[in-house]
Amino acid sequence: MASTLHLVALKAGLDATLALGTPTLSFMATSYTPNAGTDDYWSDISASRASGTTDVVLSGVTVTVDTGNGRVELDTADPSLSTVTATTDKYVLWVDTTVDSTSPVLATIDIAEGTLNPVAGTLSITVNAEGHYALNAV
Amino acid sequence: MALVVESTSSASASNATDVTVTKPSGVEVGDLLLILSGDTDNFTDNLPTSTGFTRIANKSQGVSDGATVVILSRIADSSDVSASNYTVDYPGGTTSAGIAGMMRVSGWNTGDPLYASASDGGLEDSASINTGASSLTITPPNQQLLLLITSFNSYSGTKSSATFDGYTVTSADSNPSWTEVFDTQVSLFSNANNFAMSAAYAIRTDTSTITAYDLDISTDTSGDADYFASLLAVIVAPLDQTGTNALLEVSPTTFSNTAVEVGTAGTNALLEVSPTIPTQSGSATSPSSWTDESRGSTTWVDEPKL
Repeated sequence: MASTLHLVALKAGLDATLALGTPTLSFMATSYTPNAGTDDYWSDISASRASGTTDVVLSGVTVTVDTGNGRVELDTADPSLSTVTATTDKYVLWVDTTVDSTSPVLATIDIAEGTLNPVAGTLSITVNAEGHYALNAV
Repeated sequence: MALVVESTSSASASNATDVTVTKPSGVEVGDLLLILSGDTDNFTDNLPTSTGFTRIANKSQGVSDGATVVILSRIADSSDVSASNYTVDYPGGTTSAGIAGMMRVSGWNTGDPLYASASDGGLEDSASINTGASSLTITPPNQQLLLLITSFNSYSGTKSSATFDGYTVTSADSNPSWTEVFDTQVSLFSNANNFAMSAAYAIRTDTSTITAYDLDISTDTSGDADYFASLLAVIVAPLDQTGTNALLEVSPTTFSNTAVEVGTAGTNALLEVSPTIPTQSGSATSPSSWTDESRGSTTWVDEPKL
């Protein structure tokens, strides 16, 4: 016997959340500390967006059932901003409903290299081959 | 792409309302052009200007008769390629200042190039004035162009003149090598060389935190206190940065549940119910026994009908 969640249902839930609006990525200030319990909507954290950056509309958004690993993966095309001078060490994935107070925050992801400091240059993320995050069945 | 100081130029004039500076050699479209100048009029509206250039940093010391330094910048276009010189205006009046230098820098691309700055100023009468700032936390992520620009105004009483040297930035690494763009003195009003300015630059490849800067102003002390202002500007070479992410995996937490047994045959204890029989009121009657009276039988004869 083993308890498990079921992958298609997990995917359906994530698909439904993404369908609320436009999947978006924002680079956050190094001073931002995510709180899973209170950082519910973009309005809760928008002031912590890294100075000098703008929001990135995500493309190539896919939610994939990975039966081999027993999980559902969220992946996108690599996001980037050009001609940016900023300091950041993490990014937030959220769904833009056009109203900040109803735009849900999905996840805060640390940048593996630590703090990035582009100067009038391109700020980009090479997304992990498996995606940004995965929901495991067990 | 690294920042490179390709060429410089400078000009000066006494009692000037403007100074015309010859364009640095070899300007190409996309180059970063810098104007380094100063003034004795430190009202913001009266700081030195030049058409098409944007002020990116300044330091003012004193009141209307003080010492200021400014840095103006512009990204060269085709008009700059064909231009011969640039005019730096001093809006403050007919006897403001007249010293300016220009730098042509390659390796920058767009927008405001200033990454960080620090400044100092004061009013002193001394043969040697050290101007600078400490407790800085300038941490450049890439190669830098450092600019140190200083102005000196002996504005009242017995006038002094000044020269400049000892350009230094302090960090965990050694002080880079500095090159002066100009170290010049001009006369304001009828005085001799009582307004002085210098500008120097260094290309620094170290990325350790800059914690202080300073330079020395050497004056003659035969005079009253003099205003001075200094400015450190840091321009960082353009830098692209790419990060990656580790896959964030979230696993569910399942809660243990209390087991419920189903399908077990049960038993019952015999439920015994005792009836309640109410007492009844009864009555009985004895029946009468009836005896038939005997009758003789009668033989009927039919009477004939009439």
